[in-house]
Amino acid sequence: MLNILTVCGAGLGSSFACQMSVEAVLKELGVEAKLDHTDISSVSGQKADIILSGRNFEKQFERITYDCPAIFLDRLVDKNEIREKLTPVLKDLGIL
Amino acid sequence: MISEMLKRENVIILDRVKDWKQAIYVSLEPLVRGGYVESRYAEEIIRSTEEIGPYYVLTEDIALIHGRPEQGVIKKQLAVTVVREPVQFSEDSFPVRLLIALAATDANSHLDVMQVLAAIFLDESKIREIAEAESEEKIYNLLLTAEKERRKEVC
Repeated sequence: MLNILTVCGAGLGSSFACQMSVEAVLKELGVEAKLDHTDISSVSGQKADIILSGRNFEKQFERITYDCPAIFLDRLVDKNEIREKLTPVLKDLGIL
Repeated sequence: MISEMLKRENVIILDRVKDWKQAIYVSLEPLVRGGYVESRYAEEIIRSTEEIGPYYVLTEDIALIHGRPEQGVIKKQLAVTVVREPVQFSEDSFPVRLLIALAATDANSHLDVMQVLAAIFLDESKIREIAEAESEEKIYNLLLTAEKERRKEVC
Protein backbone atom coordinates (compact mmCIF):
# COMPACT_ATOMS: atom_id res chain seq x y z
CA MET A 1 0.00 0.00 0.00
CA LEU A 2 1.17 3.48 -0.90
CA ASN A 3 2.00 5.60 2.17
CA ILE A 4 1.47 9.34 1.94
CA LEU A 5 2.52 11.68 4.73
CA THR A 6 1.45 15.30 5.09
CA VAL A 7 3.65 17.48 7.25
CA CYS A 8 3.41 20.79 9.10
CA GLY A 9 4.94 22.40 12.16
CA ALA A 10 2.48 21.12 14.71
CA GLY A 11 1.32 17.95 12.95
CA LEU A 12 -2.35 18.37 13.78
CA GLY A 13 -3.86 21.35 11.94
CA SER A 14 -2.46 22.31 8.56
CA SER A 15 -1.12 18.83 7.85
CA PHE A 16 -4.45 17.29 8.88
CA ALA A 17 -6.42 19.62 6.58
CA CYS A 18 -3.91 18.90 3.79
CA GLN A 19 -4.30 15.14 4.33
CA MET A 20 -8.04 15.44 3.75
CA SER A 21 -7.57 17.39 0.53
CA VAL A 22 -5.05 14.80 -0.67
CA GLU A 23 -7.57 12.11 0.22
CA ALA A 24 -10.20 13.84 -1.94
CA VAL A 25 -7.76 14.06 -4.89
CA LEU A 26 -6.75 10.39 -4.58
CA LYS A 27 -10.39 9.37 -4.56
CA GLU A 28 -10.91 11.24 -7.84
CA LEU A 29 -7.81 9.61 -9.32
CA GLY A 30 -8.92 6.19 -8.09
CA VAL A 31 -5.71 5.66 -6.13
CA GLU A 32 -5.73 3.82 -2.83
CA ALA A 33 -3.26 4.93 -0.18
CA LYS A 34 -2.66 5.00 3.53
CA LEU A 35 -2.54 8.61 4.68
CA ASP A 36 -1.19 10.15 7.83
CA HIS A 37 -0.10 13.55 9.12
CA THR A 38 2.78 14.51 11.36
CA ASP A 39 5.04 17.33 12.52
CA ILE A 40 8.32 18.04 10.81
CA SER A 41 10.47 16.83 13.72
CA SER A 42 8.91 13.34 13.44
CA VAL A 43 9.33 12.91 9.67
CA SER A 44 12.66 11.05 9.76
CA GLY A 45 11.26 8.12 11.71
CA GLN A 46 8.17 7.61 9.57
CA LYS A 47 7.54 5.36 6.63
CA ALA A 48 6.39 7.28 3.55
CA ASP A 49 6.41 6.92 -0.22
CA ILE A 50 5.42 10.55 -0.83
CA ILE A 51 5.57 13.57 1.46
CA LEU A 52 3.49 16.72 1.03
CA SER A 53 4.10 19.91 2.97
CA GLY A 54 3.79 23.67 2.79
CA ARG A 55 6.15 25.82 0.76
CA ASN A 56 7.32 27.52 3.98
CA PHE A 57 8.77 24.21 5.20
CA GLU A 58 10.92 23.59 2.12
CA LYS A 59 14.06 24.99 3.76
CA GLN A 60 13.58 22.91 6.91
CA PHE A 61 13.27 19.77 4.82
CA GLU A 62 16.81 20.38 3.55
CA ARG A 63 18.03 19.75 7.08
CA ILE A 64 16.28 16.44 7.74
CA THR A 65 16.69 12.96 6.31
CA TYR A 66 13.90 11.40 4.34
CA ASP A 67 13.98 8.95 1.54
CA CYS A 68 11.08 9.69 -0.81
CA PRO A 69 9.77 12.40 -3.15
CA ALA A 70 8.56 15.56 -1.41
CA ILE A 71 5.97 17.97 -2.80
CA PHE A 72 5.72 21.55 -1.53
CA LEU A 73 2.42 23.35 -1.83
CA ASP A 74 1.49 27.03 -1.88
CA ARG A 75 -2.08 26.14 -0.95
CA LEU A 76 -2.28 23.15 1.36
CA VAL A 77 -5.96 22.52 0.69
CA ASP A 78 -6.19 23.28 -3.03
CA LYS A 79 -7.27 20.16 -4.91
CA ASN A 80 -6.10 21.53 -8.27
CA GLU A 81 -2.60 22.29 -7.04
CA ILE A 82 -2.40 18.93 -5.25
CA ARG A 83 -3.59 17.04 -8.34
CA GLU A 84 -1.18 18.93 -10.59
CA LYS A 85 1.85 18.22 -8.41
CA LEU A 86 0.93 14.74 -7.21
CA THR A 87 0.03 13.19 -10.59
CA PRO A 88 3.58 13.22 -12.05
CA VAL A 89 4.97 11.73 -8.84
CA LEU A 90 2.37 8.96 -8.90
CA LYS A 91 3.32 8.31 -12.53
CA ASP A 92 7.02 8.16 -11.62
CA LEU A 93 6.22 5.60 -8.94
CA GLY A 94 4.28 3.55 -11.47
CA ILE A 95 0.99 3.97 -9.65
CA LEU A 96 -0.78 5.89 -12.38
CA MET B 1 -18.66 17.63 16.45
CA ILE B 2 -18.84 21.33 15.59
CA SER B 3 -21.75 21.71 17.99
CA GLU B 4 -19.55 20.45 20.82
CA MET B 5 -16.33 22.20 19.83
CA LEU B 6 -17.70 25.60 18.84
CA LYS B 7 -19.90 27.84 20.95
CA ARG B 8 -22.20 30.31 19.24
CA GLU B 9 -20.74 33.22 21.24
CA ASN B 10 -17.27 32.28 19.99
CA VAL B 11 -18.17 33.21 16.42
CA ILE B 12 -17.20 36.84 15.98
CA ILE B 13 -17.27 39.37 13.14
CA LEU B 14 -14.82 42.28 13.19
CA ASP B 15 -14.34 45.09 10.70
CA ARG B 16 -10.57 44.99 10.82
CA VAL B 17 -7.51 44.12 12.86
CA LYS B 18 -4.42 46.26 13.23
CA ASP B 19 -1.96 43.61 12.04
CA TRP B 20 -1.37 39.85 11.97
CA LYS B 21 -0.34 39.70 15.60
CA GLN B 22 -3.58 41.29 16.66
CA ALA B 23 -5.38 38.82 14.40
CA ILE B 24 -3.81 36.00 16.41
CA TYR B 25 -4.69 37.58 19.75
CA VAL B 26 -8.32 38.33 18.89
CA SER B 27 -8.95 34.98 17.24
CA LEU B 28 -7.62 33.11 20.28
CA GLU B 29 -9.22 35.36 22.87
CA PRO B 30 -12.44 33.28 23.20
CA LEU B 31 -10.34 30.15 23.82
CA VAL B 32 -8.31 31.91 26.51
CA ARG B 33 -11.44 33.34 28.13
CA GLY B 34 -13.15 29.94 28.12
CA GLY B 35 -10.15 28.23 29.73
CA TYR B 36 -9.42 26.06 26.68
CA VAL B 37 -5.89 27.40 26.21
CA GLU B 38 -3.37 29.20 28.38
CA SER B 39 -2.77 32.85 27.53
CA ARG B 40 0.76 31.95 26.34
CA TYR B 41 -0.75 29.98 23.41
CA ALA B 42 -1.01 33.19 21.36
CA GLU B 43 2.58 34.20 22.10
CA GLU B 44 3.83 30.71 21.25
CA ILE B 45 2.05 30.84 17.88
CA ILE B 46 3.45 34.30 17.19
CA ARG B 47 6.95 33.03 18.01
CA SER B 48 6.52 30.01 15.69
CA THR B 49 5.25 32.34 12.95
CA GLU B 50 8.32 34.53 13.30
CA GLU B 51 10.52 31.43 12.99
CA ILE B 52 8.87 29.56 10.11
CA GLY B 53 6.27 31.87 8.58
CA PRO B 54 2.50 31.63 8.72
CA TYR B 55 2.20 27.83 8.53
CA TYR B 56 -1.54 28.04 9.26
CA VAL B 57 -2.54 30.05 6.15
CA LEU B 58 -3.99 27.21 4.11
CA THR B 59 -5.21 29.06 1.02
CA GLU B 60 -6.85 32.38 0.08
CA ASP B 61 -9.05 33.63 2.93
CA ILE B 62 -8.27 30.78 5.34
CA ALA B 63 -6.07 30.74 8.44
CA LEU B 64 -6.34 27.74 10.75
CA ILE B 65 -4.56 29.30 13.68
CA HIS B 66 -3.10 26.61 15.92
CA GLY B 67 -0.03 25.49 17.81
CA ARG B 68 1.11 22.26 19.39
CA PRO B 69 -0.65 20.81 22.44
CA GLU B 70 2.36 21.55 24.65
CA GLN B 71 2.27 25.23 23.66
CA GLY B 72 -0.58 25.79 26.10
CA VAL B 73 -3.63 23.75 25.05
CA ILE B 74 -5.89 22.70 27.93
CA LYS B 75 -8.95 21.30 26.16
CA LYS B 76 -9.95 20.95 22.51
CA GLN B 77 -12.08 23.77 21.14
CA LEU B 78 -12.67 26.09 18.18
CA ALA B 79 -13.35 29.79 17.76
CA VAL B 80 -14.17 31.53 14.50
CA THR B 81 -13.43 35.16 13.67
CA VAL B 82 -14.31 36.81 10.38
CA VAL B 83 -12.50 40.06 9.57
CA ARG B 84 -14.18 42.09 6.84
CA GLU B 85 -10.91 43.69 5.80
CA PRO B 86 -8.46 40.89 4.87
CA VAL B 87 -5.34 40.54 7.00
CA GLN B 88 -1.96 39.38 5.68
CA PHE B 89 0.31 37.27 7.90
CA SER B 90 3.44 37.82 5.79
CA GLU B 91 4.38 39.71 2.66
CA ASP B 92 4.06 36.69 0.41
CA SER B 93 1.08 34.97 2.04
CA PHE B 94 -2.55 35.12 1.00
CA PRO B 95 -4.93 37.75 2.39
CA VAL B 96 -7.26 36.15 4.92
CA ARG B 97 -10.77 36.93 6.16
CA LEU B 98 -11.66 33.69 7.93
CA LEU B 99 -9.65 33.03 11.08
CA ILE B 100 -10.32 29.65 12.65
CA ALA B 101 -8.62 29.21 16.00
CA LEU B 102 -8.00 25.58 16.88
CA ALA B 103 -6.98 24.09 20.21
CA ALA B 104 -6.13 20.42 19.70
CA THR B 105 -4.90 18.08 22.41
CA ASP B 106 -3.33 15.51 20.10
CA ALA B 107 -2.94 14.67 16.42
CA ASN B 108 -6.26 12.92 15.84
CA SER B 109 -9.04 13.38 18.39
CA HIS B 110 -10.49 16.36 16.48
CA LEU B 111 -10.89 14.25 13.31
CA ASP B 112 -14.64 14.79 12.86
CA VAL B 113 -14.34 18.57 13.11
CA MET B 114 -11.41 18.60 10.70
CA GLN B 115 -13.49 16.65 8.18
CA VAL B 116 -16.15 19.35 8.26
CA LEU B 117 -13.58 22.16 8.04
CA ALA B 118 -11.73 20.39 5.21
CA ALA B 119 -14.97 20.16 3.22
CA ILE B 120 -15.38 23.93 3.62
CA PHE B 121 -11.73 24.65 2.74
CA LEU B 122 -12.16 22.77 -0.55
CA ASP B 123 -15.14 24.87 -1.57
CA GLU B 124 -14.41 28.48 -2.53
CA SER B 125 -18.07 29.39 -2.64
CA LYS B 126 -18.57 28.17 0.94
CA ILE B 127 -15.53 30.11 2.12
CA ARG B 128 -16.94 33.24 0.50
CA GLU B 129 -20.37 32.63 1.97
CA ILE B 130 -18.91 32.45 5.48
CA ALA B 131 -16.57 35.42 5.00
CA GLU B 132 -19.42 37.57 3.70
CA ALA B 133 -22.24 36.35 5.96
CA GLU B 134 -24.20 39.25 7.45
CA SER B 135 -24.31 37.98 11.02
CA GLU B 136 -22.46 35.79 13.50
CA GLU B 137 -25.60 33.68 13.85
CA LYS B 138 -25.53 33.04 10.11
CA ILE B 139 -21.88 31.94 10.20
CA TYR B 140 -22.56 29.57 13.08
CA ASN B 141 -25.50 28.06 11.20
CA LEU B 142 -23.44 27.69 8.01
CA LEU B 143 -20.91 25.66 9.98
CA LEU B 144 -23.59 23.47 11.54
CA THR B 145 -25.13 22.93 8.10
CA ALA B 146 -21.73 21.93 6.69
CA GLU B 147 -21.51 19.33 9.44
CA LYS B 148 -24.97 17.96 8.65
CA GLU B 149 -24.12 17.74 4.93
CA ARG B 150 -20.91 15.94 5.71
CA ARG B 151 -22.76 13.38 7.88
CA LYS B 152 -25.30 12.74 5.17
CA GLU B 153 -22.43 11.93 2.79
CA VAL B 154 -20.97 9.42 5.22
CA CYS B 155 -24.22 7.65 6.13
